[in-house]
Amino acid sequence: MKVVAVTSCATGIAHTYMAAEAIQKICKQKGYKCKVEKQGALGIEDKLRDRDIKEADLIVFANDVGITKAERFTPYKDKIFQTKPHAVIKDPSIIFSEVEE
Amino acid sequence: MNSVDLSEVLLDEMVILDREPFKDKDDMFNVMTRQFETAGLVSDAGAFKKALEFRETLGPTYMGNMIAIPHGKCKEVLTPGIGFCRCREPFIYESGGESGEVKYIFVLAISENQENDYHLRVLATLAGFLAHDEFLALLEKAESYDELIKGIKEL
Repeated sequence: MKVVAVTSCATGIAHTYMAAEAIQKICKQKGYKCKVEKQGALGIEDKLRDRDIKEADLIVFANDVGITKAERFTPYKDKIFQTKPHAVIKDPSIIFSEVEE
Repeated sequence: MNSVDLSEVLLDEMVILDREPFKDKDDMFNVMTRQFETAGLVSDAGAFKKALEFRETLGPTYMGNMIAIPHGKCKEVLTPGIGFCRCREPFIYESGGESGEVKYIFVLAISENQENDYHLRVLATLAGFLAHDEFLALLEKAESYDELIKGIKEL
């Protein structure tokens, strides 16, 4: 499975990066490919390419504030799992709750 | 952590190990924000406390695993930095409608200007560490500031 994710939070530091790490960690454990774009106080980091988004089996939005350049994901909205960074940090496995593993 | 030196944002005087548990979150905010002011990282402890309290209104900073990461961003933050406190026993931490036992507290001071990207980068890296069990184990067993910093570099 290929997973892509976007994380963001109010102050752009703590939850954005903790959530990104939590997502990467659980994907690694499960042997899934994973790319996480961080939208935080340092701007957009590890920006997802259109190809990443297109090829992903699962798109995770873990955001407290609006996602920048959200239109990139519009054609693939069926693949989006919407959650909050806090929820992902507490239980990373929730990102798979709507997909067949 | 590549070229990033954590000791630049986690200063010796900002690490408190094996403190008496705080009475509550407010007690902890008072102690920690004064510590930031004394260390010269923020110009006004009261203003920084207000920033922490504002962040609390946006959602929980209790992270499970006995960890809390309250953080605040305001113009009174002169240099971005981290304060860490390990309590001897857990205390009840209430945050954003959640509550839990907390023993490890990271307080993050985030500046408003963008000139401190390097420091923000280090804060971000630290936030990422919190998702790893090895880091949590280190927080429990480190017996001194030096041991903590050394342990982090070896992660």
